[in-house]
Amino acid sequence: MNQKSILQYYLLIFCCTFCCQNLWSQENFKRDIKIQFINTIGLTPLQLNETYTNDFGEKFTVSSFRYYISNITLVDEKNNSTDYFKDQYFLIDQSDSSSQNIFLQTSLKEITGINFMIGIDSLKNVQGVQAGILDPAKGMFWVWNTGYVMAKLEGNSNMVNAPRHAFSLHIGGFKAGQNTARIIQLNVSKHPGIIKINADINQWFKNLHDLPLKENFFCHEPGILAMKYADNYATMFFIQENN
Amino acid sequence: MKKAAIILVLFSALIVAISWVNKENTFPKTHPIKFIIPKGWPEPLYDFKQNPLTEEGFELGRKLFYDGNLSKDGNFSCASCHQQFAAFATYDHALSHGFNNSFSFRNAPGLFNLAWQKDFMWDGGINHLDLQPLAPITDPHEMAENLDSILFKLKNDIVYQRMFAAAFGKKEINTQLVTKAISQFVLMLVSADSKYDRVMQGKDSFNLPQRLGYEIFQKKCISCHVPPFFTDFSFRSTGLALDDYLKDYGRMRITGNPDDSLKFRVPSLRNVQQTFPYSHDGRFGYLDAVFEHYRSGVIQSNTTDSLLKNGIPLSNFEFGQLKAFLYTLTDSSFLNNPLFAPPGVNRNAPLPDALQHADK
Repeated sequence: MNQKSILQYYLLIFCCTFCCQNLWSQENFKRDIKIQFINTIGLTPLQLNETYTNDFGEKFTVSSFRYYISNITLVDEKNNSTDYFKDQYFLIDQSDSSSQNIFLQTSLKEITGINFMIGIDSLKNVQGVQAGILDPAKGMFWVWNTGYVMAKLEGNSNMVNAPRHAFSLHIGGFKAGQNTARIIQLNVSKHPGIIKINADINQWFKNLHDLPLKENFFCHEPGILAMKYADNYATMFFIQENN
Repeated sequence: MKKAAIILVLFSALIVAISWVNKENTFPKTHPIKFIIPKGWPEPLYDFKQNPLTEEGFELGRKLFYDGNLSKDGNFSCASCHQQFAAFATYDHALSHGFNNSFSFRNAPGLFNLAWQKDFMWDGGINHLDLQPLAPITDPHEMAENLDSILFKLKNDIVYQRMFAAAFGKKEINTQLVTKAISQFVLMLVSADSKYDRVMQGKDSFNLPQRLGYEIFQKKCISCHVPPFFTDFSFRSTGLALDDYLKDYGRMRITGNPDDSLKFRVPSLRNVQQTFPYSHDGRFGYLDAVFEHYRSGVIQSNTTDSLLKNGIPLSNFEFGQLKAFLYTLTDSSFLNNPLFAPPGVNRNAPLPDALQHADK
């Protein structure tokens, strides 16, 4: 064996290990998909601290709007397959535009629908302190009665009979009979690399339950009122056809 | 030549193996602590797999527990309301002092045997030990701090930087690691070495009043205050009048269920001699007052526990005997264990490596 062949042998081993590594890490062919959440009032994109009017004719402004999105499933009905994104949690925050884009990789050929949860599943509510986007320091967590705040809407309205006319709706609760996480199912008609989902704040006040700001402006604990808001916000998501 | 080839091949294999196995593991190894379950006790409920006990983690948790910087003004550590000599309750205080001359909402309970507890607080509102510190830390009447601010303080403290790295093997400080470290400290607070325990193990014996008190206890108290924890961890209404200032409805605050009105957790009677005043708002200053409540003060309501329909008949003699027995639940080796004292205060306490590094 001459020195050249030793060198070749040596190189060969390295090539092999690298190839193997690459083969394992590259699972099939995946492509990027972007899911964009656009918070709106009706069809108008939301601007913080602008004045809007809800279905009861109540004028209000929004100072903060945040909600968790989790358990996303992309659906391909034509090929009868789905892609579930386990343990991936996202906090959509109106004051942070980068938070409104979710980037995923899927092996689905086509996407005909998307299912997701607004809120955090009960499992993550009973497993102690989480890190990352689920860190209680994100301010979406109740420490005195364990559980995530699934969604938060804060703002002002002259209709609110409270200091600074401020309303604050912190919607949470995960136990049976208090659950405020909701599963959303939407059809995706087009087939772009981007799915744009609108979230209409007006639905918080009126859809399944009438909750005018004049009557309800505080919600800070799990219970019946929180569940009513949850029923309402479950209807706020829609995909705009002409997008 | 062949030898050289073999050596080269082996060498390259070694390099590949090392680079695969040991990518980030540049931190020194931690020293595991074995959690000892007292004889005859059940398996703990805490999932140690998610938070393995180490000397470094324990030592970090101890430092955090005794650090006033976890509060807004630097005055209130966990230990300011959870004092070791009071079995980690607040000694002789119905309610504890908090930020800006305020009082806590409830009586601070003693901290021990937490590995066997499923949920926490008088109303059971907190479902995991790791989450527990977040409540007093952020309560405006207690430590009044916010988590971002605490993380900022810890991240900018070189001693903490080192101790977190030593305990968790990464250059990161977040809420999860802070609370895991505190859990490691409080999990080690096991109280199982009282005279009662020694008597049960046949190593000691009760004197006459203690023995008579034990008999009364077994007849009249044991169905809620179940050994070895001296609580069944349930929530019950003992027929206390509602305090019209605190307006504390107990368990109902959590469940929203009227059937839970005025129900509070059955407190452990271990170290009861040190944990006065008693009840969720500390309204009873001494044990006789508690006995008197059970004898003559129980208010009957829809939610009053069925075991207390007639209160608990007790004679004046029984007061004394019961007290004699309950005092055998005082665990002085727990109350004086230097391992649980503030770091550095007691030089006889073993100083694991992490702290020695930190001191320099």
